[in-house]
Amino acid sequence: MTTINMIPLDSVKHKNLRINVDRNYSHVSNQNMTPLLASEFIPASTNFPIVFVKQQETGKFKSVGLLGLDAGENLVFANNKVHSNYIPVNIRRYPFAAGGKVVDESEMILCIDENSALLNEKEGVQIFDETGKPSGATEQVTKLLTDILAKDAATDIFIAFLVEHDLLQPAEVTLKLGEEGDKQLNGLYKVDEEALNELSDDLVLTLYKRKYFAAIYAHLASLGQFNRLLQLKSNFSPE
Amino acid sequence: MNSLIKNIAIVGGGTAGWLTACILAKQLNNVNDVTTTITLIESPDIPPVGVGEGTVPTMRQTLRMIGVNETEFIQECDVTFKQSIKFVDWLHAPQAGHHHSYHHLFNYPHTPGFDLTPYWLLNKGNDNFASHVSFQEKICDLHLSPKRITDKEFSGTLEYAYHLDAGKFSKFLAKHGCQNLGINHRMLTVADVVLFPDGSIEKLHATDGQTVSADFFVDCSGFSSRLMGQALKVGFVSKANQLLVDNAIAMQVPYADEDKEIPPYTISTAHEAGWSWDIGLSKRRGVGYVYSSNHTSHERAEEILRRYVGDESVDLSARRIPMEVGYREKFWHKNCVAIGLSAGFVEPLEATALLIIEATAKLLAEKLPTTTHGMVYAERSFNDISRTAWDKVIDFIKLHYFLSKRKDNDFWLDNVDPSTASDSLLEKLDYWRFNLPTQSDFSSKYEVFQLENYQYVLYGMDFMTDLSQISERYPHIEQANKEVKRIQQHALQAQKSLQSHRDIINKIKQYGISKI
Repeated sequence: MTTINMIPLDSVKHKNLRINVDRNYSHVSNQNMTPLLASEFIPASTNFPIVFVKQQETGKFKSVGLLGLDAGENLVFANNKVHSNYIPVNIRRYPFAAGGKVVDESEMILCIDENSALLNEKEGVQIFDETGKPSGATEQVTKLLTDILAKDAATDIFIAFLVEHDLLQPAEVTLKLGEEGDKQLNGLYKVDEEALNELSDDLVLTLYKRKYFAAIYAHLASLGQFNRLLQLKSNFSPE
Repeated sequence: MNSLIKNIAIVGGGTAGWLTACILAKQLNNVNDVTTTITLIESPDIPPVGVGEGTVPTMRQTLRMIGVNETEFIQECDVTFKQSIKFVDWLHAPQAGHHHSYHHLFNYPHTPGFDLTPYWLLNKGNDNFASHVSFQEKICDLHLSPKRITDKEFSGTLEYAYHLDAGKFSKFLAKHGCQNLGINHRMLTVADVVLFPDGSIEKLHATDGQTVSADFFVDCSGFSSRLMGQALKVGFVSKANQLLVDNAIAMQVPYADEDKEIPPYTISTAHEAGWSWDIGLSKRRGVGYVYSSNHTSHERAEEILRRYVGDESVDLSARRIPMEVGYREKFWHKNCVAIGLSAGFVEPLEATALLIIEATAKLLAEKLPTTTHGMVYAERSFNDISRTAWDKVIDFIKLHYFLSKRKDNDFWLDNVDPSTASDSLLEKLDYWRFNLPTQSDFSSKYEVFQLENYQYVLYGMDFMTDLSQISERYPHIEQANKEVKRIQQHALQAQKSLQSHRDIINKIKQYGISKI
């Protein structure tokens, strides 16, 4: 597998590039999780577990969709099949990414993975049109990425709220793997239902007004999807 | 005489006073329905000694217990992590640039239920004891943090304690104690202690004419021992015959380079007439030389310290602190308990100052009777436990000297004279010449240094336990080898997942540590 190399999109250098559309999203087939925005919790919740994990570099919590049960394992986007009726935006945006300043949306720099297997000069969607301007598809991606940045910031605020009010707890997940015995998943966190139920009226109202309840309950409901991952795993045979 | 003990006055606003106040406030007001009022009296005229900068891992538990936020503590007290004490030149004086050293690690030997010690003793290879039984030595040598940024509050991948700025620490505890634990803080200097006819303390008169009454008093006034020594006339038992050092000279050394790596351990280096501590905080180093004035002059001591620090010491001032090793005849007398330097002192070789404060404050919280009824038993029990704890601490400190083979100064020769060691230490060392030290050699749970601590020092100092006559009792050589391999693998894994000590301290200041 080649490593990702995100560089700013260049209207000269990348003038003739096209992108092959891969509806199987095989670029994530080695990732066992994907970042997930709070606004995506509801559609994602019927497909795979949504949990919180700590970022290696900062120790800060991020919300993710769990796609596999082992390191490097993706059961949802695997073998050129997609076992989900919802595609997280952070998967959909590929091979593009937002670089540059997060604070000021107008300063977002559109980046592209130069090593992506989807890039070529023959087939697929144009990045720049004949006049050298960003194509309609590229404009759409720019909009999507701008939207992701804003929603990512909102998700951070949502998570900071959960942390501040002691609403997260370690999710002790034990998988029953039959002959292989039990497997403990570490480093996953979930909303503490008991703490949630004991919140003061004021905080409940705040949660409601900020529309956090939808995300919280979608997350809690999604924890049932561990069984679905196990099911996918039992049918799974590596390529 | 059967009145409730509901007002406690603590005299002294240093680390001992504030740590005691916080522990008492937390423990007493949680367990009992009785609301205990805790008042801390700090003298605006008397500066704290403030050189206790090293802790042991119990401090993590203590801070969590009193409800401190670890991130704030690290940010506000210039904290760094401590995983070990590295002893340099204790066995031999340095020769031709070669320095002997060993680690007293905080991680206990890595093999629960299986003691590698006899196998190490019987098949001595090139590796030293600490690196043989634990992977922490490797982590220390690489200056890696015991904790990842993803590890939650007060827990790490490896055992750790803290290095801290003592002055900032007492201010931090004061803020926490007053804001969150309801401690009353009064700025007064005690002028006079008024006693009841039975010899217990009735009240304190301050220099400004104010009065402080309480049911119970805790003396945290430092070396002056204002209540226990001066007012109650409880005598002092000198242990200068066992531990020969009687002075310290200390210096604060700023970092020339702010990105310089910080060792995640205390460095204790033996010199001609004592030893130096070297503690890397996040903003500066704390360095000091503890020495015996019977074996060297104050001028020579300062010269040794400056030579150790090097060029950086040129414009820095040094502060001398006279000290007397020993403890009070009683730690609890009538309605007064002494905690901290007012109770006793041993040189800071194993970071015992804060450790003993933590232990005795917790013991006091446990033992303090609800009413004056029960005071006699509590006093006797507290004194018995405390005296044993102090004696055992002194034995353990003495052990470091007693195993030395240095001959460069009378200081070291006098230190290995058996008449300067306690019978209990001599007896054990004699036994351990042909018998492994075991848990049963450390029968009291109030001994703060246990089997594993002794093992690191004994075998770090080349103490020989001769098992050759009973080697057939240790046939599990294959398992021992397997354990050693496992420890080496752990070391490799840990090296990959841990970051530099300085980096993690910086990250904690930036991002904080998660509570979960």
